[in-house]
Amino acid sequence: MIKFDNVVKYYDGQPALNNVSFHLEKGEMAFLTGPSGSGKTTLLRLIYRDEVAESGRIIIADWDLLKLTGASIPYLRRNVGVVFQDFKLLPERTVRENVELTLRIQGVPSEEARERVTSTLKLVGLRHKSDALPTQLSGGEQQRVVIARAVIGNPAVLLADEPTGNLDPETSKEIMDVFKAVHAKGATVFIATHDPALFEHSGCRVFRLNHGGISS
Amino acid sequence: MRILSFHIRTALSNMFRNIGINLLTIFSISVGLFLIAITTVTVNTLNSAVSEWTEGFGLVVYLMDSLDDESIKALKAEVENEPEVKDARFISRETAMSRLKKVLGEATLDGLDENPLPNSLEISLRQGNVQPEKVREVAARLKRLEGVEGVQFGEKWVGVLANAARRFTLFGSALGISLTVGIIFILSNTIKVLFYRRSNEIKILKLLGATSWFIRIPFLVEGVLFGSAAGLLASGASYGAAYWLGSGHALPPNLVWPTHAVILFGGALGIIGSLLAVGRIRL
Ligand SMILES: Nc1ncnc2c1ncn2[C@@H]1O[C@H](COP(=O)(O)OP(=O)(O)OP(=O)(O)O)[C@@H](O)[C@H]1O
Ligand SMILES: [Mg+2]
Repeated sequence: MIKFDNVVKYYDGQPALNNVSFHLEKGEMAFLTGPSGSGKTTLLRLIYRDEVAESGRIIIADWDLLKLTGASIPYLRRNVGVVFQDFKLLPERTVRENVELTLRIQGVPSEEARERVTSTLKLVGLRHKSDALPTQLSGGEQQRVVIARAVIGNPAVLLADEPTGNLDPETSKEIMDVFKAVHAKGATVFIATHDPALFEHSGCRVFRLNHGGISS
Repeated sequence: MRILSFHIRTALSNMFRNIGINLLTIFSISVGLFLIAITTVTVNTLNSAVSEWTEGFGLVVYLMDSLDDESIKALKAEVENEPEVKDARFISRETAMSRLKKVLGEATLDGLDENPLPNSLEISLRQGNVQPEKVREVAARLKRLEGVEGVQFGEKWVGVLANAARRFTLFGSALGISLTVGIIFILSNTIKVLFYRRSNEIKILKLLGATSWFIRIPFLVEGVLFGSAAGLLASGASYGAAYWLGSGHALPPNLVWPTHAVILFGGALGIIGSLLAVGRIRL
């Protein structure tokens, strides 16, 4: 489902990722860890084509990302839900509208969208904050809005970049349960995190990034 | 349809976010549209007046005395075959004389024992063929026909009138085109500003899988809203102006039509302006 072959990504002449190769099976759940600045976010951004690799090969489902045309990018992204490290919520839209966006972009009719938003907000425990603006929420609550927006479209691939960075252990566990539920429905889930507690005893594969190289 | 209503809601909420400056934009566009509307009405009115005045006007073809009835009939048919000619009416020399007598008075012509007037054909031209060059060209062609003695036409005053109308139309068109270009410019700049103000939001929409058109459509809707709102304002103003000029009387239809067309025209300019603003931006 996610396949990297000798992927190289430079920033300002410095390699952020150097010859990275790995392969996630369809429906697998795995973790990506490594110190700050090791390239976790960069690797995830390559997957949803927010960045383009200098060389190597990246295959996501049937898409060969280094050969992808601009017109296909939206359709790739609709199949890749992303929990962004920096949230990327629309500040002038309510929680409900932010979560609904994923569906509106995919052309889901408004009634169906409304129902799915309600149940997804319930899933992340934010039903009562539907009409709040992101600025009126705590960091952990905003995080959960982002998660709701990422999972609502039932993407084939779910990427999460430090999804529990702002959460207490109790809420972190609840969030991990959401990811497990999405995984149980067949999605390929890839979570970047510093927090070993998330993947210890999870039974999932863990990839480690260090100075741009990867090991598992 | 549903997805469009989503875009319209987006567009409306964006418009209301900066209602003050947006109203100012709408107002200045409406001034331009108002000027276009009244220019159009004035030019149209003038042109239809001119073509009405010149409608009855035509050429007079004088026939040789030697022609018999058969040949006159044939010649009349030949003349009516010309594409610019609407119809040709035969005026016998007797009719011509009695007309002349009516104009000048019986007594003046009493001294004549012989009718000096020739038979003639009065020709009226189809609309749009009264420009001086055209008339001259038709006259020359008719003159070459067998049995034609001469052709006479009131080239001068028709020419002056038609020329004036044409100059005015030209001036009106130039004014209309420059105003249109100006309005498109204002609209496309307004939309561009809205676009850049939302660039952060647009980046996020792209990451969520929005296509370029999904992002552009709210701006096109906004362009149409701006343009047609200004059109509505301008149409109200031109209706008011026409009513005032007519001092309260019912308006002739050629004064009323622009009030509807102006709204559509404004909306069309809105689409053009916003397409110029966001149609080619690489997303
Ligand atoms: N847009 C960019 N321009 C220049 N350099 C960048 C850019 N994005 C990332 N980098 C650099 O690439 C390296 C990897 O950054 P990245 O954000 O992928 O790290 P990370 O593992 O996600 O770190 P963290 O755990 O702090 O989120 C860093 O050295 C960073 O400075
Ligand atoms: Mg990061």
